[in-house]
Amino acid sequence: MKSMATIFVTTKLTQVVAISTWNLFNWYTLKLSVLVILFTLVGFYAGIKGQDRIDQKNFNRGLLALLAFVGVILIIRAVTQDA
Amino acid sequence: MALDLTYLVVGIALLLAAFVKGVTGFGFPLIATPTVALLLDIRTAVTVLILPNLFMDSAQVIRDGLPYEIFRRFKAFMAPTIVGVFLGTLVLVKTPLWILNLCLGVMVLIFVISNLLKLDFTVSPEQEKFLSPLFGFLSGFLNGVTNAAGPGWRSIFTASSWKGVPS
Repeated sequence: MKSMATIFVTTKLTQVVAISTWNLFNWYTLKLSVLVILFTLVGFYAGIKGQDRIDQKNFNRGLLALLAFVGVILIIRAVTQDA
Repeated sequence: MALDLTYLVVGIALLLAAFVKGVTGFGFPLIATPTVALLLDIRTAVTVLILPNLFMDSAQVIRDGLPYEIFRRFKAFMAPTIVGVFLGTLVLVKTPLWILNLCLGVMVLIFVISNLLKLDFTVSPEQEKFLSPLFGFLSGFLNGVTNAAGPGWRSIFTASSWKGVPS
């Protein structure tokens, strides 16, 4: 887990530099990022506290169903979107 | 920022994604990026989600001091990752949104299908020598384009040669 997190951090730090290089960071995205951090802290904390009480099998099943739904919607949206 | 239904749904999606990260240690960008991309555009989604992700992963990494041993062990993986991230981000900036949406949708479905099929593979130490830079570059590139290369990493780290790495 720590190995993966270390690689994630390296990647994300690189991404911050890359995104800044191409000016995707601006006041709007930065403000939104700070708001998102507040939201994610609540969810992250709840996840850590609740991890022992969750039925992993059903949890993973629900997660995969949600992701499949989102993936299909993204593809439909991509092929029906104007280029 | 006006509080409308879009932001409410984005908020719920983020709470869920962070909750999953707390429970499993993975999955935040994989869930948050496509859901936020459904409501905003994918470039904004990738940009906005980098800092929260960095925040959560940093908490895991620096808890026991800087992991020099891990940097040494995975330098052949990390260096190409950095190159891949820059190239992937360039693609994110230059490519039309519909292609980016398509790539993200396909990545998400590949993850779902590989999980349902319970795909597993083994890597020998000899193979690791040339697979590390290749997977590193690919992971970085996909991360730059879609922000969701974690599934690829997870597969790599469960392959036999990479098992036993510091946890």
